[in-house]
Amino acid sequence: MDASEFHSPRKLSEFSGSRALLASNPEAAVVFVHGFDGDPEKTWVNFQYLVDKLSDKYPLWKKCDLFFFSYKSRPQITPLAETFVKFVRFVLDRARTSDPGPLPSGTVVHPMDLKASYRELIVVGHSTGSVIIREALLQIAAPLAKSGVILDAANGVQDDGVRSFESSILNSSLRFFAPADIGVIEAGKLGYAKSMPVLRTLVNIYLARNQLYQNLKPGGPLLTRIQHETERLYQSFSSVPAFAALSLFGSDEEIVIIDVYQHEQATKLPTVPGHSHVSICKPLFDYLTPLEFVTNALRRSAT
Amino acid sequence: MPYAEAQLSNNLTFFVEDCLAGRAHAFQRSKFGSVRSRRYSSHSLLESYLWLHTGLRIGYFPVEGSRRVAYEFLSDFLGAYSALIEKPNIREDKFTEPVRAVLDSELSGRAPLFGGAVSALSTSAEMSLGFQSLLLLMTSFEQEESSSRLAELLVFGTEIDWGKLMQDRSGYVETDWSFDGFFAMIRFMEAYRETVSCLSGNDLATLRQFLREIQEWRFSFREKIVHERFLALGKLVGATLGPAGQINDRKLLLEIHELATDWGAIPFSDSAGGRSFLER
Repeated sequence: MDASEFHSPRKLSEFSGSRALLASNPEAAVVFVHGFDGDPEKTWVNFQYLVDKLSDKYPLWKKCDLFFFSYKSRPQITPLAETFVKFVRFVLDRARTSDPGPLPSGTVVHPMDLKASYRELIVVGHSTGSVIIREALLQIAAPLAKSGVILDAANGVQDDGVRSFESSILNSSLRFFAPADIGVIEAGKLGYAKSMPVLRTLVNIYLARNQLYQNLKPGGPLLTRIQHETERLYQSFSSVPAFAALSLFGSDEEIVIIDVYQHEQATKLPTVPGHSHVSICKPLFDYLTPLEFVTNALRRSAT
Repeated sequence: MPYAEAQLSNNLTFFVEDCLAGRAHAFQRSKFGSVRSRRYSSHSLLESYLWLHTGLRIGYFPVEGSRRVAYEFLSDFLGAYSALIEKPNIREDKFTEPVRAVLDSELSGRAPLFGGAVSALSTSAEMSLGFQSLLLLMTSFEQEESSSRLAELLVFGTEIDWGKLMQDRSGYVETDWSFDGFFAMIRFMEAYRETVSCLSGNDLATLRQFLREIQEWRFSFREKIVHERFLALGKLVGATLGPAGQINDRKLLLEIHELATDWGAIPFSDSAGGRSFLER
């Protein structure tokens, strides 16, 4: 391993709890969004370690900046998505060069990083994270579509030749782990399998008390609107990559309904044996599927 | 190749921003707070000194920058150390001997800053990567208010403090911040265990051990009272959330205890007191 190719951590003070792992010469940005009651570290810590540990096997990650969006669960998706849009704008614009706070003496240490021009944007969501991402995309895309300029926006570049914010978002690749797109399992029907650890059962019961969880019932107004609008946009603008996500579920999924949008049925992947809502997104040495799932998005964008 | 200068600088900047500065600020605020919060914040700040010390020793932080940072926060470090020296019994309970040795030698002036020996820590890419993963996990724990608040109460709370939290709740169906904290601690311990399992290799064994020891004060499950408090809270969580008759108390306590063994809890097979707790 070559430490000079490792990622360095960066606190993103403007977005409480959010962080980045920055490469030396990045070409792509990968943004991670955790799920219910999660946080960026406990959900994505294995990714954070393995992208450097296995950099010889997956060299594309050496050229990626990783960003971990953090949010506190709130009852409504819309404000969370609005904050996420601001976060992505910050990521693409100035995350690498924002100044940290001063030391007690007043000295300011300037980061030794240059602004990056990302060729590609990959957006990775787990559970509720996918719903936040979908809603954020609609907040950007819907007005553009209504104004008849969405395809122009998707091809947009700035004066310096770098992709515009809208173009980056619309051309992003979406990778979801156990997305809550179709809805969550009704609280009263969460299983109490004798084989399931008791702690896991309690965590699930506690999760189901979360107001956000309760607002993600299948067929509910929020999820129905997001699904219909996304499918409608896909039908009109199927060349825009961000309207179609690739999703991965575990066979032991116990929180969300295992299903995808209509236009994503053709690319629906088989469930991963032996993995649950929590474990599906956590790569290990003997379970590299999550890492490869996202790496494939990088490979496709690289070609 | 080792880290580039820019990377070392960025590593240190992150550490100061995400860990050290906040803890120093909390320590300063604790002067006006309770004894409990003062003790918690003192330990927390000294722990951050130990992270800085370890990171420098393994080549994750730059030498000059680390010294500068230590100078910037020296009065806080010494203040936290003084707060513990005045209560030697407390200090003895919370930090292990190797950890105390580093603090005692460096902050007393008997050894140069960052000169205290920690055997078998070396500079390697593998070591730095492991260090970073555990650092990222640790800083996220402290920033979650419910978990740090619960840890403070578990480890430093008096019997009266604890009793107020656990006052008779039979039939009381509402959850509160303590439940948030309980699940946050469980998630942390699970994630920590998983991360450590990825850090394979004999050369990492010393790093894993030392980093666990500098954090162990926060869980301190070696202490019977802390361990039993956490189990009691777990039992309350099960009773409050689980439908009647569907949560196996004994199985729940065993699962919680099993995680706690990573943080000093004595395996039940070795402890008569532990077995008797399960029978209650």
